Amino acid sequence: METAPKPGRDVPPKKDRLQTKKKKPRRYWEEETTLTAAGASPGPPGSKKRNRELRPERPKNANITKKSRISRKPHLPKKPRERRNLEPQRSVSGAQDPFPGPAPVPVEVARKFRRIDKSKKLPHSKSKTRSRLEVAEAEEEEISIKAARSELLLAEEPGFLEGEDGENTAKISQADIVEAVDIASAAKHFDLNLRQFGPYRLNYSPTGRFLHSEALLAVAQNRWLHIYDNQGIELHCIRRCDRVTRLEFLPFHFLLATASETGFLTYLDVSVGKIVAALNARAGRLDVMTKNPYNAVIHLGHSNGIVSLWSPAMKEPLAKILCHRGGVRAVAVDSTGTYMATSGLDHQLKIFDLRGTFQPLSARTLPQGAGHLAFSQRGLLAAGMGDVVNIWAGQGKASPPSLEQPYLTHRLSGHVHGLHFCPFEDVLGVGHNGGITSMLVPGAAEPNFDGLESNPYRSQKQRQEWEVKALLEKVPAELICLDPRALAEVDVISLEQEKKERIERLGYDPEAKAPFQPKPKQKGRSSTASLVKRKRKVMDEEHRDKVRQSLEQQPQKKEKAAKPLRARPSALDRFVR
Amino acid sequence: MKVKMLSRNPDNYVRETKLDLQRVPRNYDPTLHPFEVPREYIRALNATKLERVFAKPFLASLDGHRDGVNCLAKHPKSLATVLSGACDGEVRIWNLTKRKCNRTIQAHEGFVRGICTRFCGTSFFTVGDDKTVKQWKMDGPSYGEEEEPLHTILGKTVYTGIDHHWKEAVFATCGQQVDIWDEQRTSPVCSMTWGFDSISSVKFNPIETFLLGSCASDRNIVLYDMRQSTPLKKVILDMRTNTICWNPMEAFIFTAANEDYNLYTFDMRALDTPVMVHMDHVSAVLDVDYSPTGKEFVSASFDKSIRIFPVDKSRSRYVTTSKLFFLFDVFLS
Repeated sequence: METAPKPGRDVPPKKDRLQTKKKKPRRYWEEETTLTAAGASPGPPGSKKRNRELRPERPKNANITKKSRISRKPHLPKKPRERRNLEPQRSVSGAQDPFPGPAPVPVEVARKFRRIDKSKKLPHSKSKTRSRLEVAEAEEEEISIKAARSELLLAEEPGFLEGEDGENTAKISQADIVEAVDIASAAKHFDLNLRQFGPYRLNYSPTGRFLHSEALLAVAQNRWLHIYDNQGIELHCIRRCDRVTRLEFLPFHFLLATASETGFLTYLDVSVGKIVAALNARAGRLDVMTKNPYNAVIHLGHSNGIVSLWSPAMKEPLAKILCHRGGVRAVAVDSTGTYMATSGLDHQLKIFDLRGTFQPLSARTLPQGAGHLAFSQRGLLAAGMGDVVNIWAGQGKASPPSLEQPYLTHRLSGHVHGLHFCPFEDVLGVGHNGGITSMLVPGAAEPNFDGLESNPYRSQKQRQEWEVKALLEKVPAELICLDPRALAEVDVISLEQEKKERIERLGYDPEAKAPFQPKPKQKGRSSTASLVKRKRKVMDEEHRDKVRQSLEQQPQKKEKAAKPLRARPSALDRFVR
Repeated sequence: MKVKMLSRNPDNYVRETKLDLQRVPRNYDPTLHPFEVPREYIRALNATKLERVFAKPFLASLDGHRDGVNCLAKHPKSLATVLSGACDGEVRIWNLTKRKCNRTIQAHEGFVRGICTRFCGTSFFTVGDDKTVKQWKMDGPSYGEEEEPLHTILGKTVYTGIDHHWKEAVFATCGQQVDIWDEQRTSPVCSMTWGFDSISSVKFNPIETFLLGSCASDRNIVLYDMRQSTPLKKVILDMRTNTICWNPMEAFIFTAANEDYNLYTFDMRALDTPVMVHMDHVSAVLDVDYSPTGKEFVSASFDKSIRIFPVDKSRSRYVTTSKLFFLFDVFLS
C-alpha cells in the first residue's frame, strides 16, 4: 500500500482515550456502593458488545507484503451471559423470597434428554473443534434442563397396581381389576370366542387402534404373502416371499421384514414395492423373529441357541449372541433397545443387555418354556407359557424387569399363540386357540403420547398429513446399523484411512516432523563443526527418549511373557525365549 | 388393593367443534422419537434437493442486440429500466417488466466502452471507441425531433470507462488518466494520474461522494479525492483488477474483482490487507456489483458462472452457471 505524498498537512495524533476517562454520572436507580454490595436489585443490563463483522483484528506489523493478504476470520463476539444475583431481593414490604433462585430440576429427568456421549473423546482434535464441542455440550445442558421443566405440562400419569399389606399382585385376577376400575377401562377387557378357525395371532397398529383405520394389512398365507386394504380387498400377492412364518414392519423405514421356512430373511419396501434385500440366514427354518424398535435391527432366533442380528445392508449378521443351550423359542426387545428377553427349549428365560456388553443380566428357570414374549412401552415383560400368561415388572422405566416375582398372571381358555401390548393403553392382547382375549395390565403403557408421532385421537386429515411427512422422511435401508446415531459421529476411521492412502500415494508422510535443521547463526557459531554438534545433540536427546520409553514398556512385556509359563515345567523350557 | 388404569378422557384430546384447531399434545421424550439422526439427515437432504428443484433463476432473455453486449447500467429511479451498450455502438433501453426494448440509439461507431446514468435519471452518458463522450436524454425524442445527443465531447484519446457523481453534475472518465468533467464544459476540470499505464474502470463512492476508485492495467487500484484533485492511495495486487464496486451501505468498503479468480474486499482506510478474500470462482472474475442492502454482492466470471457472496464470508452462497455465454457485466438491483 502506498500513500500519495501530501503537500504538507499533518493531522495531530489522537489522544490516548484510556488516559482521559470521564467519571460516569450516578443514576437514580443506582444506590450507594455499600448498599449494592448487600444485594440491591440489579441495575440496567450492561451494554452488549457491538457486532464487529467487518473489522477483524489488525496484525501488529504494518510492513506486510502481498503474501499475507488472506485475512483471518473476523472475531465473533461472545454472547453475554446474564448473571443474576442469587441473593434475596429487597422489596418494598421487606419480605424475602423463601425459595430464591430458579426451581430445582430432577437430575434423572434432565439426563433423559441428553444425547451427547461425553466419554467419547476425539483423538488428535484441534482446539477449535474442542471449543465448538464444549459450546455444544453447554447448550445441550441448558436445553435438557428446560425440557425437564417442561415435563410438568404432561397431562397423564401412568397406571399402577399395588397390593395391600404384602398381598401378592400376581394373585389378583382380571375380574378383580375389572371391578375396581372405572367403566371405560373395564370395557377394555374382553374375550372374543372365535372357535371356528385356527389359533389366532394379533398385532396392534402403532397408534393403538385395534386393527382398523390403517390402510394396509400384510398377511402371510399358505404359500405367499398377501396384502389387503382395510376393507379386505386383496391388493398384492407377492410371490417372491413364499412360505413366510413371521412378519415385522419397520415403520420409519417402510420395510416389511419376512422370515420364511426356506431360511431367507426378505426385506420388502412397502412404499416403492421393491424387495430391498433377500438375505440367506443359513440356519435352516426361520421361526423366531422380532424387531428392535430402537435401531430397526431384526433379531432371529435359531435352533442352536443363537440369536443373530440382521440389517438389510449386510449379507452377514451384524452380531450373533449365544443365548440358550437348546433352541431359542421366543425373542423380545424393549422399546429403548436396551434389553432383550429370550426364552429357549432349556426352560430358561434370560434378559440380555443389548447396549453394552451383550451379557445376560438375569435368568430364570420356568416350569414350562415360554413360547411367546412381548415387552410393553414402560418395560413390562409378558411371557406366554402354554395357556398361562405371566407379566414381570421392573423398578422404574429404565430398569430391566425383575424376574423374581411376577406382577400379574392370567389363565386363558386355550394355548397362547400371540402376545402384543397395545401401544398407549394398559392392555395386553393375547391370541389363543379359542379366540382373542384382552387383558388389563395397569402401568404397562406410556401415558403421554406425542401428537406428531403417533396420535390415537388423530383425524383423517391429520393422518394424511402424517403419512405424507413419514414418506418424505423415510430412512433408506442402508442406514440401519447397531447404533442409529452413527451418522452424527465424526468419521475417525475413514480419516485415518485417508491418511494412510495419502502416505502411500505420496511416498512419505507430509505431516510427519521434518528432520532437524540447525538454524544458521552469526558470529562464527555456524561453522560446520558446531552445526554437526547441534545435530548430534538433538539426535541424542531423541535416542534417549526412545530408550526411556522402551524401558518402561519392558516390564509390561515381561509380565505378558511370564504368564504362559504357568503350565508344568518341562525340559524344553530352556529353549523358550 | 390399589389400582389405577390409564384412562384418557376423549374431551381432552378431541376438538369440540369443527371451527376449533386440532389438539396436538407433545411429549419430547427421546424414546418416543426414535431415529432422530437419520430422519434429520433425510430431511436436510430433501430440503436441499427441493430447493434446487424449485430454484428457477433464469427468468428471461432480452433479445435484440446484433453484437455482443459490452456494458450495462441501471436507472437510478426506475427499477424496471436497464440500459445496455453493444460492441457495434448500439445502446438499447429495456423495460424489464414487459421484457421489451423501449428505445434503440446508434450511439457510437465502434464499441460502446462505458455507459452510466445521471443521478436524477433524466439523462445518461456513453463513451465509445470513437473517442467521444455523449450525453443523451432518457426519454425518447418527441414527435418531430431526431435522435440526437444532448451534448457531445470530443476527446484526444480513447476512453474506456465512465461513471457519474452521485450528487453533483460531475462525471469521471478513464482511459490514459482519470478525468473529472463538469457537465457544462468540454474539457476536463482536472486530470489525475499515478503511474504510466492505462486505466480500465472508474467508480464513484456512493456515500463519500468525493471519492473515486479506479483499476489500472499495472495491477493496481488507485483511490482519488475529487476535492483535492489528487490521487490518495494505491494498492498493488498480484494480478490485474477488472472492476471495483463500492458498498452502498458502508462508506469505506469496496470489492475488487481480480484476474486471479478471487474477489478482494478492502477497507479504504487500511489497504495493507483485505478485509475478506472471496474464493470460489474457477476463472477470472470480470465484474462485481453490490446489493442495495450492502450485505451481499454478485460476481460474474469468465467461467460462465454468476455467484452471490455474502460480504463477511469467503465462500459464495449461491451459484448459477450457463452453458452458452460469457459474462462481462452484471448488476444487482
